[in-house]
Amino acid sequence: MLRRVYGHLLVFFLVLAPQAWGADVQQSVDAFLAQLPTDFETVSCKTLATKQNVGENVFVLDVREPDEFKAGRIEGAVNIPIRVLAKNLDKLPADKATPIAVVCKSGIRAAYATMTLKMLGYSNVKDVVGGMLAWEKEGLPVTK
Amino acid sequence: MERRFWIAVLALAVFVGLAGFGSTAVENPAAWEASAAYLASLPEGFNGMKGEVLKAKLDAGEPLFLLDVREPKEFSAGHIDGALNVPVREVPKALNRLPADRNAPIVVVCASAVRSGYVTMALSFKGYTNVKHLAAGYIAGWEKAGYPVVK
Repeated sequence: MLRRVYGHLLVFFLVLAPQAWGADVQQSVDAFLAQLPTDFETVSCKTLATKQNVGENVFVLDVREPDEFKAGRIEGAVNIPIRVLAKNLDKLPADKATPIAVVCKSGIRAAYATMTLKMLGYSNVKDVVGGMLAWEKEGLPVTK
Repeated sequence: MERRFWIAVLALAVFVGLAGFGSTAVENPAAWEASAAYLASLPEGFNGMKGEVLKAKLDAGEPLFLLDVREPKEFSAGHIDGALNVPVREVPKALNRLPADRNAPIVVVCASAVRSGYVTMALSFKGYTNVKHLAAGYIAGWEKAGYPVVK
């Protein structure tokens, strides 16, 4: 009888209780949202292209899948697919203050990457709004 | 003796105050595990819901909680009927306005699917299990597609 009650309790805690991360992670997530700047950590395609043209040192991180990357990318971009980003931080600049522009197809995967990198201490990360779709629409150069 | 006691109390208060201030940092190595788990398990479509799918669900009367995280000005210029407006920066303090059932379906909306991406990921970290965002955002994914808006 008692074992059954414990069994139900166990099921409750494993299945029904919300599976949330610890307070330290929550604090970091809350701080990220509450302290978002007026640009919401975004950069437009045009601004990024201008920065590249004047030789500003921006690390372009492309978080799409390898086949998407091969089909057309921003010159000099480094490809780390979003699902394996956290395990490939060694491919990012060692100096966490280096400007990083994250690009994907439409901007959503880049948003996940931007939030992740900000929480991991990369201080200058921006999401390229609209992604490669916007980049191509603007007629900006694509490398194949 | 008593003065020493109060100095100690004051020092403790200052320490606690500073610690509290420090806790607003975004950077936190502990977020690596949570982020790695979320990113690695991203499904096809990356938790986006296309406008046409959302429209069909709303038309069918499916219970969906619409959370619009744009600024009030953007929201009042046009939004999806029934959406609750909580600007992205205020989301952490407004969880009590979200469904109490953390398995309830939630669709997060913003202008171009950047802010909604942040909130989709944040809510997942907080234990919400059924959160998606409007793919391409309100402007391209809903308004330009010609779906109904209210002002």
